[in-house]
Amino acid sequence: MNPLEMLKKDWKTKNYEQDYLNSTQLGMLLHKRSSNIVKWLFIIGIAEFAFWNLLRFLMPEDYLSIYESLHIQNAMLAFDIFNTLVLIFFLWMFYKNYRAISVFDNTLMLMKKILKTRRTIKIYVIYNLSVIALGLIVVNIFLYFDQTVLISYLEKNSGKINDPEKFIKMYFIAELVIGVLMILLLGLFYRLIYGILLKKLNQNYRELKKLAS
Amino acid sequence: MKGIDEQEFLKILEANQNLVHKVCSLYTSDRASRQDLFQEICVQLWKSYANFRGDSKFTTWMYRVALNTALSLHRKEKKFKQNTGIDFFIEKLEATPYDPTEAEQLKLLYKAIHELSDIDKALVFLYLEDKNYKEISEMMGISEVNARVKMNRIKKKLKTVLNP
Repeated sequence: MNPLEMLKKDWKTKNYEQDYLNSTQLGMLLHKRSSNIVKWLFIIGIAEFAFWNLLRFLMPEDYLSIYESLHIQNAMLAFDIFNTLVLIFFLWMFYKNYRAISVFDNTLMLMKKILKTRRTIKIYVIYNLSVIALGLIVVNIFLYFDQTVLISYLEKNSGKINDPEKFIKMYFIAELVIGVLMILLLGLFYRLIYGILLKKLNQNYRELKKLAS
Repeated sequence: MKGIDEQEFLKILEANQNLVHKVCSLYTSDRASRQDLFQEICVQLWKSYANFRGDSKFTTWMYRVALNTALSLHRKEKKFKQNTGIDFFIEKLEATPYDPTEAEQLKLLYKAIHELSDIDKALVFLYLEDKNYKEISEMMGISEVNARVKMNRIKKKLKTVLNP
């Protein structure tokens, strides 16, 4: 007999009766927590939005006085409004993508939608990292050209500075190093999270996409 | 879920659960992962049951949800595989009338299937379940021609397992 026909014949007789669950046991399963990728994407996405917004509230309040001293408070306020609008847009996109995921789609479409949801989060993360980088650069440029503001702010918080010139130099180097390190670490962290979570899905998607073309 | 009869769903699921067990045995390598996947498929079936309008057969809908869950949604996997999953098939083989040559050949074929990629396994599964290429292509979202070409390649590969 053709081996594949033999396989088919055997496959049809396969019975997993010993693993069968009755309707009561099945009913208990239905109400257990799901642990699938989409749910994890959703949790991570929400955590992402919460984290970046919490960060804004955790900024020391008197830090804002620096903006006033630098006369950029209006620009910062406008940016804050813009940032909130961007957040709302991303939240809406994220929710829309998430809702569009249907397990009844064909497999390729389902994978496409999952990866689209993930892409929304990725763009949001890139946006936030860019905003941090840009913010750091802009504020530091202003501070560089108006160092008295920085000195008086720092002296107010940590007492008299003896060698302001040397201190300022160290300050900017430290800002640069910490800023770059923070952005790199965050970037690596995201790569790891999504890399692990979506490795298999990406692999399957690529293979299926090849077959679709 | 409002307006949906859970008991009715459970009755149909209970009657058709062999299909879900088959998908789970294809995509997992140990009992714990198999149970995880089985549970996840049941949850997904129940969640999407509200959208099942009866346009297709219940089993056709089950195939789609079960395969999609295994291929796209399920994530848990044991890092260190204690066995290859083939043991599970062999367990089942023992129930069939014993023919040493046939049993040995089936063992080799199942082992080869287990080593296929996730997508290839899905194609083999649908082929073994007697789905035609149109149905396979619709379910997977691929072209009918490619489904046929790919399946022929897999068939060839499986045949070489028996005649290396």
